[in-house]
Amino acid sequence: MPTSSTAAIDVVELTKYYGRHLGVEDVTFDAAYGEVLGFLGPNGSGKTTVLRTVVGLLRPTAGHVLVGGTATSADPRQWRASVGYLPGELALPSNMTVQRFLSFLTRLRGQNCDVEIDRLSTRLRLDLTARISGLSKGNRQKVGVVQALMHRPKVLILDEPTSGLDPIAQDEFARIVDERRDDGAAIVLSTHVLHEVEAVADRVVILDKGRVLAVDTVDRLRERIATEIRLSFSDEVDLVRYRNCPGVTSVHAEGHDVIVRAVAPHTDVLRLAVDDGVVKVVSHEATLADVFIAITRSNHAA
Amino acid sequence: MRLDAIVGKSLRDRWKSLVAWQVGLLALVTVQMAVYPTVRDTSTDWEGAVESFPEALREILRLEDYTSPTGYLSTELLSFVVPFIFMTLGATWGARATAEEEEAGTADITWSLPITRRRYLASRWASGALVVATTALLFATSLWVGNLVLDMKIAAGQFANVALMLCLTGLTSFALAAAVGTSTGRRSIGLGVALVVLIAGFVFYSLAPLVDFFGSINPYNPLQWMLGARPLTSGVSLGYLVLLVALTLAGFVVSDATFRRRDIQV
Repeated sequence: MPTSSTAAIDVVELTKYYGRHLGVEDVTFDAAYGEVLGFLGPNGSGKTTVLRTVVGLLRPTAGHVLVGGTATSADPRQWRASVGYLPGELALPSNMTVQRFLSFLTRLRGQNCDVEIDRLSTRLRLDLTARISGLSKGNRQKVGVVQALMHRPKVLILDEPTSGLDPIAQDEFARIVDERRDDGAAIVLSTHVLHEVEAVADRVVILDKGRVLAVDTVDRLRERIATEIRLSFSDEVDLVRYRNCPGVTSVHAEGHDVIVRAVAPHTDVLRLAVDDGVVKVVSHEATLADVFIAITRSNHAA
Repeated sequence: MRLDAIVGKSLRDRWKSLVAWQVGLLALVTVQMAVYPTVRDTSTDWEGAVESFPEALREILRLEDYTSPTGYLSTELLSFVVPFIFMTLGATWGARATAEEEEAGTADITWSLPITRRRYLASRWASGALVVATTALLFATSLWVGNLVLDMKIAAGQFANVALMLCLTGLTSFALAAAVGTSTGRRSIGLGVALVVLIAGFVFYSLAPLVDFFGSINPYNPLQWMLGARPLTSGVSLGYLVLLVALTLAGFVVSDATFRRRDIQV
């Protein structure tokens, strides 16, 4: 797969086995600076395995993670200095305050992050003086988000970042992600909340059973799947001609209505419908959920 | 400094349990010291009692001149009880070295930071060494204070020997548990294996005077290196000290080599 010249990270044929058990195989994708890459997949598809390998917590069985053409394994310290990582299963030490935990991480980063910590915690309404043991799941998640963003990393790896966040915090989080993208960060965002990805992601990777099924923009992925078009006529029409149009996957009639499922472009179907005197056309764009389900379902069928 | 952040956090996370260990140790010293005047004043009875023990039992217990100050403290505290406390203290901290954060799940954040795994490991070892060393120093100091109060007339240098031996006993146990715990990522395996090895070593060491086979392997038994020298009476053995230091370093090399190559568990 061609990689963009501005790629922040190139993941090349990444394979990870746990003993004999397959984690992920031949995973290849890239993320550019100034891009949000949505990382989608059903439960157990290998998203977290890929992200943890990219960060360096897991050793790949084969394949590479490259930054600027150099393997991250060559200088893991420098790589991790430029990454902000939010784990999918976030666990925090409970016996300290948020402030103390964040300054512990700051000291290990060797970088003063006080200003950014204050800014992020104010925006997310996180109380820095609270003890972590007393925080709700949502507030713990905010701590995770702040620690991933506080050093203004060039690369953000976020595994289920909005899990447990209230709608206000989710909204603020989406704004922060947008700003970081505008500032030139490369952001890999794994989530189950598809409308969130649809709103924020420039491209998406769809992963299933440890393999990449698709890497593309949401619009282009939409074009890959058939959408439903309901054509209303005043009389019955001949369905065979519709079946013969390019891109059509199914046609059936409900009274005087013809329901066509077809992959775009729909030009031929619509031209035929106009010739037949169509009185009403109803169609709606496939959502990312439709795309996701169609692509993973065809993989399961195969 | 970066090293300080991890060492500081390691100590802060566990200071209550550490204080409990140290208070327990001081209580033990206090009780033993309180009993000593009675032993001293009834020394002839004790000597008769010790002589009436079967030879084998005296050898297993390494019973020396029980009623002298150094003999009493060696037998009561240093022949097994206190070294075993240091073995357990060391092994408990060693088993936690890296497995604690892995099991708690906080490892994902810690090891996504720009620090090398070796740096983390070194800091955790430093905190373990600090714990064992301060506890050994505290124990030796409490013996020295008891010695002054009861006018035992034991030279101060002997207490330094005690601190050194116990410190190395604790460190070697730390190293053993850390090597296993770090390779497996499981605290219970690290602690369990270390204690089984140490107890087996102690059984071999105890039976060495009686069973020829155990006697012949005893020079290679780390428990002989830990308990074989009598720091209060005959002083420390340089050879044993070197062997214990070498074993500790070997433990670090093993844990470093395995930890660097390993996947971090969720």
